[in-house]
This record gives sequence, C-alpha cells and structure tokens, in this order.
Amino acid sequence: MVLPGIWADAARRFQSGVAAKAGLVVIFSLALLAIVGPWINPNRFDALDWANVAVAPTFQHAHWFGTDRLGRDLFVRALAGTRASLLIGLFASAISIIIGISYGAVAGYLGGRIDNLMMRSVEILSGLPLVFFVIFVTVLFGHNPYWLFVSIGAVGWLTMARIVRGQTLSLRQREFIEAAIASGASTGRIIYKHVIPNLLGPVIVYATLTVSQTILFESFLSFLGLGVQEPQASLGTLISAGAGEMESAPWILMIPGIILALLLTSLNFLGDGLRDALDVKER
Amino acid sequence: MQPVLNIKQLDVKFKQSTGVVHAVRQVTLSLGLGECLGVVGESGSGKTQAFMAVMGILEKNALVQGSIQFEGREILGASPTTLNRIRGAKLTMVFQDPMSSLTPHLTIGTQMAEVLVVHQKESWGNAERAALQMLDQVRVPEAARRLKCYPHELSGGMRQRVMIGMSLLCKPSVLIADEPTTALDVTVQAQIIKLLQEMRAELGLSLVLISHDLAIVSGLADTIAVMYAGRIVEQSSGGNIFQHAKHPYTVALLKCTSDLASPRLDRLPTLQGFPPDLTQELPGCDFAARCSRASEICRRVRPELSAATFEYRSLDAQSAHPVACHHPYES
Amino acid sequence: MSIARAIDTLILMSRYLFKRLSAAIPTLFIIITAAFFLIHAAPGGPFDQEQRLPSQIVANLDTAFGLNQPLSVQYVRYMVALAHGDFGPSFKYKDYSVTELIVQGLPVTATLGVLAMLVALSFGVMMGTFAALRHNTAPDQATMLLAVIGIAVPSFVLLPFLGLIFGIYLHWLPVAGWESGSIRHLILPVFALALPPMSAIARLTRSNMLEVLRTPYVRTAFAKGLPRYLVIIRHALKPALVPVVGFLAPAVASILTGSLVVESIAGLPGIGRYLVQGALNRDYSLVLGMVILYSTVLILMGLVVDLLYAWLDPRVRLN
Repeated sequence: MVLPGIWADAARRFQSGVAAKAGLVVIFSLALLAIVGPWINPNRFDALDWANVAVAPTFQHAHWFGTDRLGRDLFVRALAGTRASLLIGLFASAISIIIGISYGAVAGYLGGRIDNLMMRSVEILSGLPLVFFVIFVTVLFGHNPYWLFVSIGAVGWLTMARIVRGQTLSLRQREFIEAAIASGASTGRIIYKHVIPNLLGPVIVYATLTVSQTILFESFLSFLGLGVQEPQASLGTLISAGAGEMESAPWILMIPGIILALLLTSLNFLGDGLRDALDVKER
Repeated sequence: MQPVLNIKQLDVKFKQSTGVVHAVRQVTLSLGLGECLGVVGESGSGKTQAFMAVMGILEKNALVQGSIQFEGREILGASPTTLNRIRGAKLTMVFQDPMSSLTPHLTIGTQMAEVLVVHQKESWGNAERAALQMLDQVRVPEAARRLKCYPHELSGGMRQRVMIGMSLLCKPSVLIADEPTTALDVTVQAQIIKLLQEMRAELGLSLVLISHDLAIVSGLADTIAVMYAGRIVEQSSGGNIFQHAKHPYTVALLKCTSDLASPRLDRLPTLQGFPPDLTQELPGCDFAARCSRASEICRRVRPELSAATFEYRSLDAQSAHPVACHHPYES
Repeated sequence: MSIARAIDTLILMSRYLFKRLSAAIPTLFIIITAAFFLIHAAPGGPFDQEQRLPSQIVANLDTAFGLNQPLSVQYVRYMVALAHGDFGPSFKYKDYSVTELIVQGLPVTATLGVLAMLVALSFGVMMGTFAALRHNTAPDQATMLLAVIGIAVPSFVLLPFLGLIFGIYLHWLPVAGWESGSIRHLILPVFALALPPMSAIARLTRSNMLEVLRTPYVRTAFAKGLPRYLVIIRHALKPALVPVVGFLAPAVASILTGSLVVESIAGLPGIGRYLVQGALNRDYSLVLGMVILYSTVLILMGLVVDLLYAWLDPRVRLN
C-alpha cells in the first residue's frame, strides 16, 4: 500500500541530511567494530594482565586503549561493552516496539470505549516515573539479564503505542480500509495487511529513538550496579568503573564515555533525520 | 494633489522550496487623503500580500521591490525602527480573522493600551482610559467591563470592533482593512461596514478596503482596483463597476457576488477553473485559460493596463477606466 | 473592580488547591501501600547481609524492630506512625531515624534539583527562542546540534567529563565534594543534571516559538508597531511555553533520577543514595520514606503544572 515514490522521496531527503548520514555511519562502524573486535586484538576481555595495570593507551601488548585497575585490556572490554549495550538495546527495544505496535494498532483499530480505556491506561502509566519503578524492582528482585530486558522493554513502549494508535485511527478513515472491510476481510487480516504497512514511517522513526532510550537506560542501570554484572562489561559498568579512577587514569572513563556519547548522539541524529525524511509529525 | 499612500510597481516574491512565487506583480495604486480604495480579487490574487508589504509584515522569505510612499516618504526598505514609528500609529491594519488576531492571554485593555504606551509614551493608566473612550466610540457596549476581558470572552463582531478601535487609537491617516467582515455573520458584517463608514466620516480616515466581495466594497469605495494573479486588471470608480465592468474577470466576479436577496442560494454561480500557478510567468493574459472571450492574441501577448496613470479626482466613467484586456466589454 | 476580581481568583485558587491536595492523599496512600508490600515481598531482610550475625541476634533485632510480627500488623503499625508524621527508624543507619536522615540530606538534593530545574528552564527557553528567531541560519543549526547532543549524552557521562576538563585539567572548579554554602561545588553537578532537560526544553521552545511567530496575533502585534523584543516577550513567549509546561513533570523525573548518580559521582551528601542503597539493604522504612518523598514531589509538580497552564492561558479554567 505504500507507494515506492514516497520512499524514493524520503531517501532523497534523508541523503540531504548530513547529521543523519554521519549518525548512520557512526552506528554501523561501532556495530561492526563491536562484532569483529575480538578478532583484531589478541587480548581477551576478562584476561588479567598484572604486569600492565592501569597503563595509558599504548601499542605495547596491543593495549591500544590502555588497561584498567586489574590490567584488563580496555579496547577489547570497550568493544565487548558496546556489543552488550547494543544487544540489550536492540532486544529490549524489540520488546518495546512489539508491545507498542500491537497495543496501539489494536486500540486505534477497535476505537470506541476499548480504545478510550486502553489509551487512558497509557496516559496514567506515562504520568508515572517508571524509571524509579524499574530501579526499585530491579534492586529488590535481583538482576538477571532476562529481567533486565523485560523491565526496560516494559517501560519504553508507551510513546510507540500512542503514535501507532494515532496513525491507525487516521488510517481507518481512509478508503482502502473501508474497501477491505466491505469485501469482508477479517479484522486480523486488515490490521496485518493494511494497517501495519502504513504505519512503517512513524514506527521506524520512533523505533530509532526507542533504541537510543533503551541503551541509555541500560547503561544507567549498569552504572548503578543493577544491570550487567562483572566480569561482563557494558558501557555503563565501564563508565562507572572509570568515574572512580578519573584523576589517576582518565582513559578508563573517557573511552567508554566517548563511545556511549557517540552512539546515543548518532541514534538521535538518525532518528531526527528519518523523521524529517519520512515527514513524521511530532506530537 | 499629493496622495497619502502611493504604491508604484510593487513586486512581491516568496522564495519556496518548489520555486519562486510571484504573488504581487507591478502593482501601482494611490490613495488620496480621505479617500476609500477598494481592492477586490479571489484569494491568492495578491491583494493581501500587497498591503502586508506596505505594513512590512510579510514573512521572512518575501522579497519586495518597487516603491511605497507614505505621506511623501519612502517606507519600502525602511529600518524596523523607522517603520515602527509609522505602523500602528499613522498607518494601521485590521485583519480578516478577529478570532485569532488578538493575543489570547492578554486582556483587551492591555492590548489596546500598549499601542498608546509604545507610540505616545503614555502611562498605562492614561492609555487604558483612552482605550475605554475608544471602545465607546466604536460602539462596544459595557466598554469598562470588556476592557478587562480576554479575547475569547467576546463575540467575533465585538472582537472586530476592538481591532478597529485599536487601529484608530493614534488617529491614523490610513487604515487598511483586510477582509474585515469575511469571518463574521451576515448581520454583523453590515454593522462592521457601517462602523467603518462612520469612523471614516468622524476621523477623516483614508481607507483601504480589501475584499473578495464586490458588493461590500462598492458601497464604500470611491475607487476600486480588481486584482487577478497578482496584477491589477481593472480600475474604476466605486459606483461605476456594477454597470460598466469591462474586464471579463470583473464581470465573472460580479456574477458570483452573492445577492443576499436571492432566494436560491443553492444556485450560486461559481467561477470555472483555477487561478494560474504563480511560480510561472505566462506570456499572455493570466485570465485567458478561464476566459470565455479569449482569443489567440490573449495567449501570446499580455494586455497592459490601458491608462498608465489613474487618478480618482479626474475620473469620469468613460475616459479614465483602465482595463488590462484585449477584448473588454464595452459599456 | 479589579480588587474584587483578584479576591475571586484567590478564593477560586485556594478552593482548587484544597480539592487537588485532598485528591492526592488516596493516590499517595495507594503508592505507599504498594511499595510497602512490594519491598517486604522481596527476599531477605535488613539484618541478613551483615557479617553473619548469630541467628539469635538476628532474631532479637527482628523482635526489637517488630519484624517478626505478621505483615498486616507491621503495615498497620507503619501507617499509624506515618499518620503521626513518624517515618520510623532506619534499619541500617541504626542511630538515625528516617526523618533525621532525610532532613540532613534533603537541603543538598533540593538545592541541586531546584538549581538544575531553574537552569534547564531559563537556558532552555532562551536557547529555543534564540534559535527560533534565527530560524534556518547557522546559529539556529548550531544550537539545535548542541541540543541533540545534550539530549543524548546522559549526566553520568557528562559529569565525569566536565570534572576531567574543568577540575583536573583546568583547575577551575572542584571535581567533587561538598562545602556548605559553596556554589563552586555545585556548578558542575547542576549543569550535568540540567543539560538533558535543558536541551529538550530548547527544542520544544524552538518549534513552538516558530509556530507562534506565524500566528495572526503575532502579526497583529508587529502591525501595531511594537518593537520586536516586546512582541516576543509580551505576545509570543507565553503561548510558546504551554508545551514546555507539559514537559515539566518528565523534566523533574529526569532530574530526580539523574540526581541518584550525580550525587554519588560528585560526592554530595544528598538523599539520592538512600533509594538504591536502602532498597539493596532492605532498609524498609528508609526506602518507604524516600518513595513517599519522591511521590509527593511528583504529585506537587503535577499541581504546579496545572496552575501554570491556567496562568499561561486564560482560556484554561481551574475546576
């Protein structure tokens, strides 16, 4: 149902946005590095090198980004952390996005009282400081990675639900849906065949922003010691460790800090660029 | 006699991503002291843009060329400081939509008084007293209470009276009224027109009345300029236009003008077709595509306004009734 | 006339405030109850983690703090004490009551939070307005570039970097620590906390200001011959701020969560650490005290938001 011409236009507009393109390049390079990292450096992410504790970035022993207090190689750890952050970010976002789309599409398609009730709950939930709630629950009930995915995912779906519901509602008024209803297609089929493809633009934009939020949230939890646990690394735990060594070994902080900042900024630039390109209205 | 407002060869262009929109093209108009000039045309004919250019309130992407003289001084390209001494005081404008033309979070009193505070360095107390007087003068009942009201607490007609009152506070020499009645009920329309007429007589105003409705304009205006696609296509004295319209577009407009006495409003005639794309320059007449009288020459050669200078004082129906048409109706 | 109107407004407002505040009590009650049972449902207790206390002593401690009684009894006792303004003793900081701990730390956290909020609001609005007035020029794009970075980079990354630059390399400001009344110690934490909401506010203000600048009433204001600064300040700013007000509650939540980490990085003796530490230690009363405090702040913020809406737009009625 989506015209190729619309995508061509969007592609052209996206091409003209420098920041968004730069963001895309940065994200892909970081992801690529995170994947191939273990093969280009001989060090292992949890190997302790007691002869080289807290050394500054050097070419000796391939400690390109230096080592931490325990002599672990920061290049490998930073990339392992990036990988962990990206993976958690993607998985948790996927949860958010799936919940958000289904919830919003159903509410928008059914309309009426059910829609009212569903959106009212979204409104109440988004008025709550869910971040606190998640911190609270994570602290109380321990922190295994599955719980981490679910808790982060459970928080991030509200905006997506609202956006999808609004789009669905307006799509419902259009003729081709009416035609499908008239020809006797089932509700499930109409949602799958017509509603979801037309939601793609806004969903892509908000998915990008959800990924950035999720990565931010994960690193926040890890920074507090509630997320990924040692010896596993995520960008949040690495920054947390680095913040304590700021005066004596600033690189321990700077490397994961710069990576996280780059990653999040790039995702936001990408999201903004896609928003402009796909002409999605902010609401 | 020196006109109070003199517009010469005014061009307004808007730069847009789709091209340059040439909204006002070579418009020359003059307004004598105490005169009323009616400017008529469809929406998109450039009539509003031309006078927004006079006020210097066009959007940033507008390019204005030509000459605009107010009381003998060139004001096109003047600095904002210079313009701010004139506009709102000597040269004022009333807009189409009184619902959205007043700031929602300020009281009527504040919005009126600030004009005097800014232009005449009055104290707020004095300014509010003058605003109260003015509300009385523009026939707003219970003026003292209305002064404390917010715009949404007033009806559309009341708000338009407030707008008119606000524009008259500093005793302007020229008031530009841009479709002052379009957004209002029919009965209120007549009241507002009457008010404008009274104010003109009481204050010796020169008035520019912009409208798409020839019937409204012709009752008030000494002279009428008809605009189409950014150009003036016909100029005439006010009373003359009904009987002696020459341009086919004017004639078509006249046919569309709602006759309020007509019992069959459902059979209102409409103008066929659409106005031309203003990003393009046509070689011939802009109206040719919609004109029943158009011939070969109309599509090739642009008709020029027949009399280069047009002055109301020397006007008699036949001799000074310029029209830009190859095949004008003869009266 | 205007005095009568002012009194009317005052009566209306106090009645409204009373109504809203009494409506907040059941909300608070539900939150406290949920938090109480949630935290007690979590495995472990406050004295389990200490260095292997003999079980007899743990039992004695439990008795002393009433932890061996049925949960419902504990709940009623807690709520009764709370109704008398008693938040109970801390289980971890044994010589202090929860009230004492909060009273000690709150001034630091409150100063930090309020300053961050003020900075975020004032600078955010100024940046957004500035960018809108220079729409589509280099200064506009530069401001918005900064805003995207500001939204993206979290305070726990920003603060260490700022400390590194301004503290360790330039020696302009202290990296961490706290001296009562010292503004210098607060500059970096306040800025780090303020930057994300400030950037969001700048973006919001910009897009709304652009919209407002195109409205007919702003055109009227220009046509009246008002100088530009008056048009902006008197006619355009308030309507442009309406959506910013809607962002205030999320902004406060962002600053509160941010303060959890910022205080620990900057070594500020605030109350931020009590939430996470208290929950880790199963310091029941301390955590509940924090939950009550934060919920109250957020509920009050909702009230402030509604009052601000009414102040910004006379069409909004308080009822």
